[in-house]
Amino acid sequence: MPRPRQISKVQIPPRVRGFIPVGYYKDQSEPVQLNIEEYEAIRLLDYEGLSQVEASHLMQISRPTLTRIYERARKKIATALTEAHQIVIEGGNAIFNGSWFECERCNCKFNNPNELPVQSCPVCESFNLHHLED
Amino acid sequence: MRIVIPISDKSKTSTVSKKFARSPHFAVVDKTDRTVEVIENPYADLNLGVGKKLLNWLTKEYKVDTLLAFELGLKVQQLANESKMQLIIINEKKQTLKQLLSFMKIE
Ligand SMILES: [Zn+2]
Repeated sequence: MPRPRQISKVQIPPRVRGFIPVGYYKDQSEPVQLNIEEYEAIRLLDYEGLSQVEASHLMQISRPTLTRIYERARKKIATALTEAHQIVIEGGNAIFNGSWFECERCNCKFNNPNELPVQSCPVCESFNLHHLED
Repeated sequence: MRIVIPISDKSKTSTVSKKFARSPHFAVVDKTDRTVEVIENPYADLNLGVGKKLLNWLTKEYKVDTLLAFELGLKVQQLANESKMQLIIINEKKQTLKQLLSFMKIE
């Protein structure tokens, strides 16, 4: 029986939903889908410089699971860079650390640690918000 | 709500600092009173443990409950989560304090 997939915890939602190649483009190739937990593995290991042990603790998954996620992420990014695919960051098996919202007007993202009712953006006071689902 | 914003210098045309804890200055915005105060970061040049000292100081002295930044270090994020402070991540790297204040309808 396959092991149940572990759910990764992600600290802050990704800033953007994806990336588009520059230059060449008549026939767009299929986008590469980078899962939220793959994005987080790249961020923690390569941007923040954490060790795999530290990153696996933060994501609340085993180290071997993190290693597999990270390998997949690198392979996908390498494919996108080499073959000029779009990268779409979405999906996977992850939950955000707390509940997060995005403002459609000023594009900020904010969390709600005290679980108060959220009505408007804390920066621009717009009511045009959406809850970022994992 | 009292929001702390890391800024590069003391003026209103100052831009938001890229990293939070090492920012030379901060603006503390009170959304209820619609006031803003610019303060110097006393821990900007400290080698170790900046995050904890800084957040303690901001919460004690300035009653800050919300951190706004372009990018927050992991340590600061963890400390803020532990003390249930709200996090706001903006998407404009070079946003000025002036633009943010006008968004917030302050001054
Ligand atoms: Zn907004």
